[in-house]
Amino acid sequence: MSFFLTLVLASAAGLAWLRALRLETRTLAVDLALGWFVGGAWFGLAVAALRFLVGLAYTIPLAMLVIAAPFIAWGARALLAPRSRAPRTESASSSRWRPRPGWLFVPLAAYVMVMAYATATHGIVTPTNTDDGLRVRALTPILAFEDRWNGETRQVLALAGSLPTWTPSLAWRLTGRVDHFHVNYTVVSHFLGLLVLLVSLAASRGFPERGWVGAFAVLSLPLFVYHCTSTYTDAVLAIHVGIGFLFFLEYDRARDPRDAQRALLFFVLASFVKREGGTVAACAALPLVMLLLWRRRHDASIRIRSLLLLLSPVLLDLATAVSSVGMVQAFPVTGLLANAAQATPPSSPPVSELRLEAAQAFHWALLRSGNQGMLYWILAATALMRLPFLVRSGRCMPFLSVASLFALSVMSSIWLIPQYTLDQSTVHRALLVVSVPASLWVVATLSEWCSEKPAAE
Amino acid sequence: MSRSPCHTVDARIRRSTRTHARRRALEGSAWTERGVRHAGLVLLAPFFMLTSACAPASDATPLELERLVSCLRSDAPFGPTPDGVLFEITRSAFVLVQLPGARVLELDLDARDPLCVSWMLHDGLPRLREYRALARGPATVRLDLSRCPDWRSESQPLLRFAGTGQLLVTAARFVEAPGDPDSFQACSDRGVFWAPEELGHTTINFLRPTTWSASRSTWLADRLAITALGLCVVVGVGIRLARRRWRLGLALATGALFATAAHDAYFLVRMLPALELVPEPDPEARIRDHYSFAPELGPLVALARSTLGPEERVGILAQPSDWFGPEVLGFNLAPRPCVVVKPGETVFTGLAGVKPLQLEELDAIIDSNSGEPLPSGFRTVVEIDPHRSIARRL
Repeated sequence: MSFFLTLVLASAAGLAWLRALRLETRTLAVDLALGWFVGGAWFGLAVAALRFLVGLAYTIPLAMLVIAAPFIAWGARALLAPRSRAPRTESASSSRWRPRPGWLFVPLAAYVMVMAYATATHGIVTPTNTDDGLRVRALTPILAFEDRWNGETRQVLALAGSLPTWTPSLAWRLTGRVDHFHVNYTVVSHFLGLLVLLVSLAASRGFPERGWVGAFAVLSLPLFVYHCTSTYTDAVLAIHVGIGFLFFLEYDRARDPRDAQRALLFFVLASFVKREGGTVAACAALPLVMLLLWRRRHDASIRIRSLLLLLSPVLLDLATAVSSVGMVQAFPVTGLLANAAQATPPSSPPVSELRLEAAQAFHWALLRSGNQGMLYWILAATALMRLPFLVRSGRCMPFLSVASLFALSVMSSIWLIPQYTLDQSTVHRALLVVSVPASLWVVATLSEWCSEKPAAE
Repeated sequence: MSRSPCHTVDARIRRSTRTHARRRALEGSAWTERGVRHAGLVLLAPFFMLTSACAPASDATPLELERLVSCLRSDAPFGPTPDGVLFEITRSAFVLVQLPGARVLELDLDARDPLCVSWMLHDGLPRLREYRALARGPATVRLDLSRCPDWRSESQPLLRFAGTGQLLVTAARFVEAPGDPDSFQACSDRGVFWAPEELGHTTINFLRPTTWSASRSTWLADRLAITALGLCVVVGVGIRLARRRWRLGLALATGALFATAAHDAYFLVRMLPALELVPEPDPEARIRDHYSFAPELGPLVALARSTLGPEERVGILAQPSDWFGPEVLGFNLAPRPCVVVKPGETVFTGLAGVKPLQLEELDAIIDSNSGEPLPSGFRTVVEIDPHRSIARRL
């Protein structure tokens, strides 16, 4: 039960940050979910930075200081820059909570409920099954609790990222007792947070149908669902990228700059999960940044300063990663580049020889194996039929974001560890960060298309 | 003349001018259009079709004891007794049931000691399935060979028992496979299609492929995609003929919903039996009972957690090929220092973060079915069976 301490403290810190940044939505369910995501990530980032950049030991006072800091920032912001009496654009007047028609959405909601229950229960009840013969990623929070870092443990830290490492350990630090299931609870609470956010955000904006279909679509990704029951962090990364993308879609639809800021914030949070989190988040965020820079010419409410402020935690995370594990461990691509510069003979066959096999591996993973459900068939059909319209109307940037994620997934699968792609070990997992945003894009595109009034002949 | 869905919505908006919110709600609810109503039926149909097809097969034929004995081969000593066939298992044993032509084999077992049973096809992929813990007492194990993609008419089940103790096979029954090749293939395809997901070490990388027909290498996703495409065309043309307007978005959404719902129904049917769906509030009970693909480990881990003090330095004795047991023990006993004791070595290592320890530094040893004698200076203090025990320094 001590995990409730983590939930409450991290959510409170996250809500304080949202208030300080003025990114709260004023819908309770949405803000609570956002608060948990933001607070959890903040705790991981701050403790990691204080531990490795400043050299402070991970103690109870440090943990409480990190939890208190957002409240101080919120108070300071309120004193220095009082909130203007701007009209509440995200008021409850536009919200609608019951999707219609009921006979269509009752089965959809039933599926969402059944899968959410099954995933959460299995995720909570089953203990960590460990990873492979080499390492146990779920061990990193215990390493954080022990606060003993040597060369070997820092390598595990580099793999896990700061969020999955420190967030589950908060209650352990406060109570002094390790309950291994906090790792499970962290993953499951992120999963449930995603569902709550999908449904409540859409409902608060007056489109509950889109929210339920979004939750249905995400739960139609079999491997993603299974990952949410495990203590791997691939699902956590996909969830953060997915939420960032959800706000990107909202910005694309409603053009509220605060949605763009929320999207950027979540892409930043995604960079704290796993070693590749930063690269994945950058790929997803780049089209959004381009769009913001483009729209800034006509929209004075888009402020570069606030965007840079949101992106600044990435620098802190990068500095922490480099100081804790070194440049090559933090960014394996630098090692690859160094090897390439030294003309080190590659250990695997040239990529040109692998091209056909890699294409077959992706064809299998995307369209046939069933690990991603029917998503990529539907994505292909939707893109084929709707993309020309979206390009003409200047609304293709979210799709570009999905395409960049997919391109990254393909490139990293083929160039970094091709053997695991060809033997199908990792290709399905690598696609999770693409599949969650892609399913949300399909839902947003199709629901808008269906809602359009048909042109008379 | 029928009216378009758009006209319906507009008319409703005109009639209802009471509140602005009401107007917004109606504008936003284009889902209420009639075309989508039909899509709802399409959504529900796969659930009913798939769930109604899950009828269990039975008609098992009893296998006489003499015939059963003649069918059995094992690397463990066994022999007939008045109550059944008795096996003496030490650490692990393979039992081959030479019964070609069987589709289902049911064994009534009476475990005198806790064991774990799993199985595979003797001539098939070397992959164990359906790990199951056998507590002391009677239990029935049912092996459905048709669920294996590599099942052939001459296939024989190979059971693996892990643990040490006596096992009595009290009765056996079998269901014959269809005789003619076409029926056999159809039975095999059906078995593979409906087989529940088997969670294991590699499930984190990929779930079992969703075949439509394993024998013909056709895939469910292909079939659903083609059907959904056909549905799109029918709905699209139907709307065009009825409303004189193209509603491609609605047609595509209908097809997408059908394909996703059908796949989800299949996913539910296959995945739910593999998941733990009963909440368990006690973390220790979860560890003890829910290591589904290594059920013999859970009780040992739980025993170790309750026996060992928080500061004790622990060594783990395991078989050299066993990587999972030491990892699970090391993880669940953390933050206690926990290393793997390998015979012949003087300094032992564990999971990341555990500094190397020597034998003299260890306070306790956990024997996880290693078959190795305890290092001198240690004495067993608590055990599940003679090969799964916890020892402390004298």
